[in-house]
Amino acid sequence: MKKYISVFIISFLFPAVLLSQDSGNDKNKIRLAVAEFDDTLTRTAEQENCAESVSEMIEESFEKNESFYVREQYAIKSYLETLAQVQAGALKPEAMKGDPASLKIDYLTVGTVSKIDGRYEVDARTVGINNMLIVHSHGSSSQNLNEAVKDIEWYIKEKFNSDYVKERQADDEEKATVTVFKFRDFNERAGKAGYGGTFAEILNSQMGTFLSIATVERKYSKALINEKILEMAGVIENDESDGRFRDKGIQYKVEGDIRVFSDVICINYKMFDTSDNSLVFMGSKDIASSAGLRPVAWSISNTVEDVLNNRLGTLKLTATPLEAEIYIDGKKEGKAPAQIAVLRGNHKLMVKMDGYVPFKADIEIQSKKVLEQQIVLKEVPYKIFQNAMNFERKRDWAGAIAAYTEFIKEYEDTKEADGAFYRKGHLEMMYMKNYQNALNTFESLVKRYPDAIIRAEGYYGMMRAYEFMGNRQKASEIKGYILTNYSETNAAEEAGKINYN
Amino acid sequence: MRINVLIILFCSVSLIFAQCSKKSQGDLAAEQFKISENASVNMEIKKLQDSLKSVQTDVEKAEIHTKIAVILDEKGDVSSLINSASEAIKFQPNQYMSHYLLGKSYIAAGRYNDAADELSVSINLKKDFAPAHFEMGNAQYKKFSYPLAKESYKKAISYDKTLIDAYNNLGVLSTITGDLNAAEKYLKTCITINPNYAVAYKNLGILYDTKMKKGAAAAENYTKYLTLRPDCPERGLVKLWISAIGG
Repeated sequence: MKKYISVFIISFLFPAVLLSQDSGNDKNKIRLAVAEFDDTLTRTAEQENCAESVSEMIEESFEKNESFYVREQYAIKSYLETLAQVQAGALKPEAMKGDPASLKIDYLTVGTVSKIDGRYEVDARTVGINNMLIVHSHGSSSQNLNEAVKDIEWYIKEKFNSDYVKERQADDEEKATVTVFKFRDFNERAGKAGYGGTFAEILNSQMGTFLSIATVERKYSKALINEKILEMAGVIENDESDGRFRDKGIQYKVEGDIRVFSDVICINYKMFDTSDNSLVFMGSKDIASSAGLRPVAWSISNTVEDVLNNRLGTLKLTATPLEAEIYIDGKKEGKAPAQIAVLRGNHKLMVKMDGYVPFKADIEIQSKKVLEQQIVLKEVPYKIFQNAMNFERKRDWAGAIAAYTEFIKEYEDTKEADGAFYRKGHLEMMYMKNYQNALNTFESLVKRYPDAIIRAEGYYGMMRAYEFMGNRQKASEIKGYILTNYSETNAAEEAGKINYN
Repeated sequence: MRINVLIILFCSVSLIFAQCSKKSQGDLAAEQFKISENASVNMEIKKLQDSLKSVQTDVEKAEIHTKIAVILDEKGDVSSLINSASEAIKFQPNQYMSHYLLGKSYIAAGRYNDAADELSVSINLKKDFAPAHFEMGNAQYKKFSYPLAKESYKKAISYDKTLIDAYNNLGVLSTITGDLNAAEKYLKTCITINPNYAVAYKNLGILYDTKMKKGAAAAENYTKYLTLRPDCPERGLVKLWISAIGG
């Protein structure tokens, strides 16, 4: 009987165990393969042929770790070849997403090795092969390649296990989906230094460390637009990446440029909402040397995460008439209708158009919420203005000044108020002989920074007020200022007729 | 046994110490930001900002804000550039340069209609200012208004025959719109103006490769591009293109 049992074990169970190991059926293990790393971003790394050795070291560290079932590269050779062709633009990106059942893996570890200014930059990311979302990521910088890899190995050993993956994947649907697109080497020095490609990889790794956002691996997202015709480089680019990202469920893309100067490197970054190609957030960071690339990527990734999760809401605004200008906290943000990403918190909203009374309101933007505003601007009522002009016709200067003052008080933010200021000052000076009041009014007009012609009129009023007050020196100074800076205006022509010498 | 325990303990402590002794990325970032404050471009901006406190007239203020904006434009700090250019305009509304800078910054911020508005003002103030026409072309290009973009680039060239970037963008646009002979002509003009203008070789390569089906010419231009930009990040990709056409 024992003999039969032994035969049964050898002939059936043992192969079954082997088979189950081969297919990685152990549910507690993370089934993955390591793709050969990319070392082509920098020539020095490519010449040293770093990629093969690094991917072997990383693969080995997974193999030593009981949390993982590792399929060797040759076992999924054809998939990895497909991957390479997708990234080269030879195959459609859909081919990059693998089938976990046939490949017997759920994850793929991809990465990059670069060498910048004598320092190795190694980045390793593990992504789900069915959705290309990063589940674990770490990058390291070191003068010594082994040291950089060991740092990554430490993070794999200490931080990468099934519980961590579960935590990463929890509520994926709720999270903002973001990818790092490209960072252009913008100026000539930057072109020579070639930091852009490596920096995008570093930032991708940093973004991939967050639990609270879903970061789509850039080797996949970049492949989405990897057509030759889109690689044509204009001085600015029209890559149509937004539409392609949007179609694949990627909500935000981060991109930017790098500019290198003699003693500083400027990293400029922007985050776009792919649904409407609108800029959500932008920033700029300066670093002293290329050693700061990874730290600055850390800093930027934290900002991006914070913006996506805590700091961003949306203002959806329609206005009548169309094309009214939208100001948030005094800053022009475009024209209505518009959907604007706004930082969380209280803001002052103003919508204005010439001939209409500006709409003003305090708004509160909550993160991840949409605040809708439908605004109808009212035309500026000229009744008060007309009253003032009627007073002028009747030579009731005090009445006219009071009416203009009322108009200014009610409609100070309108362009029409500029006219009220000017008329008021003129009446105070010419008819009421109240030169100090006139001077104050013209000064207020100039400080409103109306367009150049009205400002020149304001200065002309100030010049005359000083003249009537007996301060010819000041009047002469202002006259010179008008002639120098507003030479083509009527005010300059009139000022030129007066001689203060 | 005891020795083994000690070795393991020592290794663990060393590893923990090694991890802890490393400066955090936050500290390293803060160090880098601090040092870069003293970079020459940043010192220049600081000097100009300080000088704002002592100037009196609007024109002087506008000039300083414009100078700051020019530096910020070089640095690519779009957010600060918008503020500086807007300040310059506030103090001196009829200055073409500040409208140009504001328009340019709006393109970088993805506000193409606003950009076109500002660039129009700049062009009205100085009709022969080629960079404003060029940026107007860029704004139209980003709005996918290709005929208007072409028109603006051509105007830019009419005022500055050496504006190489305008020829290059015309080359790209003509490729997109299928005007292949014009594309070839514009891209070749770039090379005539500056034989080391690498991007034009890459663009010519793509034109020959994908549109005109001239494999040998494509490979030649790709190779020239790689010679001029041996460290470019897309090196691997371009090599693949060359091998795909049998180069």
